[in-house]
Amino acid sequence: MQILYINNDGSGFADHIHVDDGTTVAKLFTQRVPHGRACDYLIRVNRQPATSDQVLQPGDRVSFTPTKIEGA
Amino acid sequence: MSPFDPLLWRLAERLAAHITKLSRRALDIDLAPHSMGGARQLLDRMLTATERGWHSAAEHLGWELRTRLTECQTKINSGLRVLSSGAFCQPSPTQRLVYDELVAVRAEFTEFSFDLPDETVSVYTDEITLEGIDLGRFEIRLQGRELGGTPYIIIPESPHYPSSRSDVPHPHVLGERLCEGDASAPLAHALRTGRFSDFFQVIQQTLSSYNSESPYVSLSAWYGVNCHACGGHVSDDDESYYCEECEASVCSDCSRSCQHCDKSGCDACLPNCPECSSDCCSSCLKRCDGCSKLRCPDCLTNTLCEDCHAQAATDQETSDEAADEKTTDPDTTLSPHAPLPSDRVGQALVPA
Repeated sequence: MQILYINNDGSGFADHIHVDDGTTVAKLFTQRVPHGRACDYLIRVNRQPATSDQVLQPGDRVSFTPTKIEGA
Repeated sequence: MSPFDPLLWRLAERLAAHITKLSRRALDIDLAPHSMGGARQLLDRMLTATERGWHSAAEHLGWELRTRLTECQTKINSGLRVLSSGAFCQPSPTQRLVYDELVAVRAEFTEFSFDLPDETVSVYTDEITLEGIDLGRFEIRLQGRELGGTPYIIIPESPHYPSSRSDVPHPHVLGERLCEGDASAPLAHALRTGRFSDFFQVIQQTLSSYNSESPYVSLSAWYGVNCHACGGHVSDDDESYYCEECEASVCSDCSRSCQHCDKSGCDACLPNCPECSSDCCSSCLKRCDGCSKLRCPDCLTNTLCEDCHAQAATDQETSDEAADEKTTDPDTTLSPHAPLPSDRVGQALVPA
């Protein structure tokens, strides 16, 4: 299934990506941010806070926003 | 689910229109057909000139061709930059998407407001405290009409400025502008695609973070002051570097003390003695009774500076000589028992 994945860490691009059925928020996070800790990110599904075991649905909009973004 | 808000819907329409217009402008790629056509003609003429042995003409045409191709290259590179940014494959946000984003922003932040005529959207951050320093709340104001320029401003609700500057309400905000740093790319992409919930979130997280390597004012210096003399940082509790004269704070390098009364002060309040260059406060500097020049106590002899003192001695000598001529008994003045003037000026009369 396809979801819209937004990574606000780095470039901040939004991409349509393919994920397996039954993928949870925690699994997607591990796949996409392998070296990050979930507690360091605001994780939203369809603009709403999500639990780690929430199962993603086709067309979901998932965003990972770091809690610490350094200005200059 | 929140009830439908017709005013917010109209605002979403306007914001979506602004973004669409900007997207079209960004994709305005000039492939320079005229420049390329001109380059083709120049190349043909240069080849003809070369075949006919017109070397000077060929050289000139070659120079013109290089210039024309450089112009083409610049335009092509510009087009490639636009294409590599991915702008071409991102659909413009719809009014519905922007509306949903604004609704999400309203749910995310405790305070949300918008102004349809001005096309602005404002949210307030929570209280921001960085490394123990309370900076208060900040308004993040999106300016719809400025999406192609300065799309947002940061306004402190009740500014907690550092003691050294009144235009830095946050280590990474100068005036009303956030120095975006790592937030720059996510913010640009969020605005380009109408993702306003991400936009406001990223700004809030940036305001809630501190980068000690490049602040306008470092948090460690937030409650200090700048040295009155050199501009360096001086902490508030460093009382030993406090100018007693003008009450300004000075750093250790600029702090001085009067060599005569130990009063501490800054460069301006502790001028040097013009004679011996020693540090001397304005209270200890005295004017010479003869020439009115300022001197420290060490450089005054009986209220006279060195020059005036020497002059007085000379005058005294002259006066004494004149008196000698009138004296019938010269031994009187040479007598070791003769009384000396009270300021001992007469001591200079000892023969060399």
